[in-house]
Amino acid sequence: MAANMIQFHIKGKRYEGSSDWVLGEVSFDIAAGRSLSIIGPSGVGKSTLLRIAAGLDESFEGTVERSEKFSMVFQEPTLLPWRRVIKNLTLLHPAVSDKEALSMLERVGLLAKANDWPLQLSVGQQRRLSLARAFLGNPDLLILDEPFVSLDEVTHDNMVQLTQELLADSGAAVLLVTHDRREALQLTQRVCELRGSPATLHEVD
Amino acid sequence: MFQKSFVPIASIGLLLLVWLIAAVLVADAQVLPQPHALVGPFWNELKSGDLTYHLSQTLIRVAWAFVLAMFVGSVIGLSMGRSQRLNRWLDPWLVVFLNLPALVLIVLCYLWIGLSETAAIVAVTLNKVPNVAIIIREGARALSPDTDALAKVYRMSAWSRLRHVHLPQLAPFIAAAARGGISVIWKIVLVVELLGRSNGVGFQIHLFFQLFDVGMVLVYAFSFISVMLFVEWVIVQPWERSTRRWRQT
Repeated sequence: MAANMIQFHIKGKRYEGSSDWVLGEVSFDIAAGRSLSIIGPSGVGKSTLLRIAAGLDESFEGTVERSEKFSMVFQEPTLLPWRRVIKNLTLLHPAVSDKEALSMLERVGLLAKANDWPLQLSVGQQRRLSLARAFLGNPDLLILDEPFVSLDEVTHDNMVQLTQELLADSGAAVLLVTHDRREALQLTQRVCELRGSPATLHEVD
Repeated sequence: MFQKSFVPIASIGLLLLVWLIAAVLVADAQVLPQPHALVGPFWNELKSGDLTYHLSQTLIRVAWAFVLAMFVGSVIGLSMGRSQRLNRWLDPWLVVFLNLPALVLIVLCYLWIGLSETAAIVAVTLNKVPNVAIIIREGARALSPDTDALAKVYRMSAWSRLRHVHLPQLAPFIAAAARGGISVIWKIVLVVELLGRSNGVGFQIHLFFQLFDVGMVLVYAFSFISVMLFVEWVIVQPWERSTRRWRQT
């Protein structure tokens, strides 16, 4: 049995000043090389759950333990537009060499753009750079927060295919949050749905 | 390109023309000399070394006060912008210092510290810190929470976060504070020199005021304005352009 890359066990989550619980009791573990998608309608608490999983929200009841070596793909590309494309990789991965970063840019089809500014990239290219950043440095755990939301169909399908290819070589545990059931089935082995109020997790067959 | 460089030159030419016409209308060189009448006194002052000496003394004070005010003001502004609790505590202080007349601070510094170089620089710095802090606080409030989340997820060090995430976002605010800082600081430095120093442009202007020598007052004033324009065009504007180049794509 491989070690768990994330152990997520919370009793509940509510926002400061509010008496309403956003999330109820939610528990899951993801072992190395395994993947889990959490689907659900907008506003149910998927992003809140993911922020807790990534350590961006620490006001909850329960425990969340994750591998130190994790990375995240945000809903928006969230690049540093004032740093060149290559620097967007190397600044966030100081242990990674320029050669490795260039090799990753080549994999996502952005090698020719290495010295461009992020604002010179198209939306699809910015998303690919965001993926490259997450996969660089061989993370143990990948957290993906609706990474392909609001893309046109062709770009969306290309991104899903690229992610599948990168995942196949990665071996990282994956936690994906999405509202797209098809995308969840394409990218992960297990799918759960977040529903109810307060929201709890339910296995999807 | 031609128009870009022509307009400022033409504008300065127009100002000289207005001055010339005013001098002709006044018709009293003691009150307002013609522009060309300043060339001789300027050259004599330059040859004697007095102009460069007093200019350099003022420049040193401006440089010290500018660096200190920018550093202290930026640290305070950034901290206040990032911490609501600190902002609640320090905001009344800022309001008090913003509304304290420059002259009061200068006199108090001379009284408490003595008629020294330290008192002069502290007085100028204290006058400028609140303005810098307020501008940088606005910048800190506008910092993107998304890039903060990015820095946290990718475990960037505090220094790396400051250098690559926060400072580039603060650059327009720092540039605005710097530009305002330079123009205000040198004016306050002249008052400080007038009141309690024995050298510098402010001291010389005070001296020539007592002699009612309008020409020499203008020689020193324009000499220093020229130096500050040089700083603006050669240092501030190129630096500002370099911080904006990622947007010009």
